[in-house]
Amino acid sequence: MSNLKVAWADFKNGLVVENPLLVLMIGLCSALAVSSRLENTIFMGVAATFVLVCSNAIVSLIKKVTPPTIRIPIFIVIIASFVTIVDLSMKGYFPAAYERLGVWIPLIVVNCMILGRAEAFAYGNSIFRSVADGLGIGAGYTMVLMIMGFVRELLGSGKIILFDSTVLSLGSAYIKDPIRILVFFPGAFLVFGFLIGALNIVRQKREQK
Amino acid sequence: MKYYIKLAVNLMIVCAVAAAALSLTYSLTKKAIAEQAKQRQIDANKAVMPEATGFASIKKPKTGNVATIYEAKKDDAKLGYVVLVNARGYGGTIEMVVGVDLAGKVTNISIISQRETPGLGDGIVAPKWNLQFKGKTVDDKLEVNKDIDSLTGATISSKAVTAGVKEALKELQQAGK
Repeated sequence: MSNLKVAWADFKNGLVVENPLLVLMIGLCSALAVSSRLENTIFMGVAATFVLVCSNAIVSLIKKVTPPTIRIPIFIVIIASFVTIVDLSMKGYFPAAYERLGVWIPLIVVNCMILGRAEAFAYGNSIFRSVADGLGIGAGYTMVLMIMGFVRELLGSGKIILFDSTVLSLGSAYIKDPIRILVFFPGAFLVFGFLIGALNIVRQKREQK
Repeated sequence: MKYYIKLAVNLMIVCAVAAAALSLTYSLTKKAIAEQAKQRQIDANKAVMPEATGFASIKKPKTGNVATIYEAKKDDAKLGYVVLVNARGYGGTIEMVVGVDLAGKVTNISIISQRETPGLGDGIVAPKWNLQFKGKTVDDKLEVNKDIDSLTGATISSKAVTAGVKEALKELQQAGK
């Protein structure tokens, strides 16, 4: 297989086969917390993807000079640095989004999705493949996050607000009395459960074929 | 022994590079971050004192939730005060400003930052809800469900803001303004 094909396979693997949220079920804590609004999920997804890709690239780049005994502290330093870069940049240039995401941006450091990919993939693969893997996992994370954010915000508050303008509304009658629980924490678990259920149905149907 | 020194040197190099990258990012974003914070403060101050042209910080109490008191001026004439309060809400600190005119009446309030529950508690930012504080003085009761309407399903958030307004007024009274 050519390099590009391998990278594409790595990307798809992260997006679907090993989707961090729906299949591996890692990095759930922040995902459940920030998915109450669609706009939040976009920023969170981009931030996590950036950290994933950069940390994967650096970990892969220095894997030959990283002694196995101290690899975890080295990974943590790398990941924490990129998270701080994201944190400072968002604070300076996207203050409104930063305000809403709050503590979840710095907490990307301890998101096991990122350390997991550094350890399980980037430490043993080429830079090219590691970046593809980071992009795939990041895209898979962002995709599921956005679906959850969309469902929770639309059904939970009756409308979708993106960058201070309402892009989708279910009408004033619904907005008055929406399924409020969906924007709360239990709502995150409910939506997440339904998503996993839907995925399992798709899988079963595929296997039957 | 040699092996351990090698490990230490290895980790040290990684940390040094990381520190260099971080200090670079910090110096690049420092200005933007400071400007954002200043802008938010000015916007909030303007929201409660639209006529004022300048704000001068005059006092920083050490206790309580009141962070700063600003004197609002239009050219040289004193218009009143703007009090920055860090109220304790349901989801964390609610940073808010309370505008008070020279007669001791609240002109308006504005929420700078908050982390209340989306859909319920974050209704405290609504200008319509904020306006009910207009005209209140330190002698008013300022109690939720008595002279202040509570937001549906967000009693704690409503109480936090109300308590913040009350504290701001008391602080001004104590400061002899």
